[in-house]
Amino acid sequence: MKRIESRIDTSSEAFRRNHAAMSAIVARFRERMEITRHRRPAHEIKRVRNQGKLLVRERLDLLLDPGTPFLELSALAACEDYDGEVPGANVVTGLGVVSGREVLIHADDSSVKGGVWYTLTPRKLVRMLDIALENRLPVIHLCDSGGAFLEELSGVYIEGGRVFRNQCLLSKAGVPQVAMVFGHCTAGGAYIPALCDYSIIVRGTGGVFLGGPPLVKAATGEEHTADEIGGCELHTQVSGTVDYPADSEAQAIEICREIVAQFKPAVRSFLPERDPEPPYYDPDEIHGIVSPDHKVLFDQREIIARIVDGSRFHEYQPAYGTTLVCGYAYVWGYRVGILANNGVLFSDSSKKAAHFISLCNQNRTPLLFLQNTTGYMIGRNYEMEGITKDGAKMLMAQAGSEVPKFTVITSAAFGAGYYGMCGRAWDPRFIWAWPNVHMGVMGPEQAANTLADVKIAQLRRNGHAPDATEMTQLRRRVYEKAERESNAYFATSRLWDDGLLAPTDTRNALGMALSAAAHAPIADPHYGIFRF
Amino acid sequence: MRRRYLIDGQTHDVVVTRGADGALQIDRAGRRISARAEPLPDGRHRLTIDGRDHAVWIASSADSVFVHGNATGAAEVETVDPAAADGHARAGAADALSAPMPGTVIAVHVAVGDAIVAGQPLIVIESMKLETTLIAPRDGRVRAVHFGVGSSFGLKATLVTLADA
Repeated sequence: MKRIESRIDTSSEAFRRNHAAMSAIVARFRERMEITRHRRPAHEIKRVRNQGKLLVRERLDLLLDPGTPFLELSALAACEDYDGEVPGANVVTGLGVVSGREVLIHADDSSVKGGVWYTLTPRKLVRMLDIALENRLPVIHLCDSGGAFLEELSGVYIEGGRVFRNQCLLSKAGVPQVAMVFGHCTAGGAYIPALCDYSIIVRGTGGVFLGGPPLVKAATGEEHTADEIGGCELHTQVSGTVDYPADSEAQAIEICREIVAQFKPAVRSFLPERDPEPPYYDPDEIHGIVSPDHKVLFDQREIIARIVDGSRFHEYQPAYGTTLVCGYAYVWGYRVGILANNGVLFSDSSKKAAHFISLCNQNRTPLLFLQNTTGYMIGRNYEMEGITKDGAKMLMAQAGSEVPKFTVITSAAFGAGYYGMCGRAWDPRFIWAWPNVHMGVMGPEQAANTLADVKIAQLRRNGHAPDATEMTQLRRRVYEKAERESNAYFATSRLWDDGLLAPTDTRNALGMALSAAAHAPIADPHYGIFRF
Repeated sequence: MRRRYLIDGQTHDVVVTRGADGALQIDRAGRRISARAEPLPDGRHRLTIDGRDHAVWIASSADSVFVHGNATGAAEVETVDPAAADGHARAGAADALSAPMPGTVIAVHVAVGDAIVAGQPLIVIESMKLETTLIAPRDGRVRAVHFGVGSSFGLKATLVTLADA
């Protein structure tokens, strides 16, 4: 397989400018990750310590196999919501290795407001459990949450139910789950350990009950302590709701690790086919290739060259539909079929995509979408050529895919191109965005101009003709809002992706995702109707 | 395994088949050669070719192998990828640089007659809200620039024509 020949001039002015700007964007991203993961008010840490509990990151350190990677999912969920005061939506989710098995982890973070659920909390949990269902990955729950935040009850109600429903479906699919009860599991949350195959509770701090002491008192007049109503002794000796008592969190984690070691070994649907080889070109150079301005296009082959094994790429239809690059490569030894935007999608590039996706389904090759799209071409000529029905072919092939799909957004994700290139709604097994990304139904400029025109027309109708300064201010206000709502943090805050990734971490994340995706079987290819 | 090697400017097509206990069978131009390679304690390799032994030093990079023997001197054996020939090159490696999307020219970095090297930015276009820099697919000279700054063009219009240097 031929090595991609890089055309990047690392000494050029443009490269150095991009590199400085992107490095700053990535540094800011890493700083936000660090704050979300580790920075908590002293009084909150003191409260957790006084309860005799470990912090969530300390629990993860004990649980995960030493020296193995942990791929955290949606670490910055809720970062632009709730005034940024609910780090990670009060829960840590991720893909890691426990007792040699790849597992998904749900770990409540009780260091902010007792780890109560906001609307985005169950959304993050449901997404993690969807990943578990699609990839047949076992789940470990580390429960320590105060339950639904009283001011967010309406937001939590429906998606909260989906958490428990997904747990039932996982069990039905034969995928094991373990719960460790470190704090209270109240109301709906009580079902989390109850629906697991195995559960462990820590004596003294753990509690499982449908109604906590205050609720029971209000409803029936009975007065009990939390321990009497649903503590370790009651559930492990009397009710049988929880399986194992533990004297400490550390012991609970050891029991959990022993349970996971008894899981049946995973049967993989595909394996690495070659010895992994690092990219020939330095992945750090991605910073100099990608412009922080999403309107400036770059050759995505240059990105492929810095992600795949040996920078080797077999390009499919290199001369046809050139605004979409398609081809085969290896990532950590796994064969993948890559689709990468190099401009607007035309009829030919869309048909090429549909054809290539069918090929990959036929030869059981996972698909990797590298998104940098402003959408499909518009205009009368292109409609006559059938751009809409050709785009529909691409959607039909992509949605109908049986092979695992992965999406990485490298710069822009606008319009229907985001759908065609396997955006969030199209069930990629994992989807990530780089922190420089801009996305939305339309670009911030287009959105701002359209909205500003409508507002100005409105003012005029009401007999007020805005002067030039007023109009500029209005446009700027609308633009700033559109710009804020199109940036990567806004999207990741709302769980539009499985997290932001630094460009240089992309290859490792893909390696873990491919290995995880191999846990689920791949069905024979079949599709809906293609419009010819 | 079918392989193409380049030694001293000459191409050799060979088929290498592995036999039992490390023996290799090499078919080249209708001739069958039996061979074997084993490491020696001093860091050299013993190559046995049709029953004759050669002790050589071997150094390899991703694309080529250097073989040095006291009697034979050094030779570079380059691996050639037959699939990487011209027909497989990037689109637009021809003399006419055509527009990947319809749009407007926003900058021209070269003039007629300029010598250019592969990868050099030639012209910047804007289309569908995207700014695209078209680069030289090969070394050469600019024969013609067909659109100036501000002019618009259709899909696949020829923007720049190249000639050999």
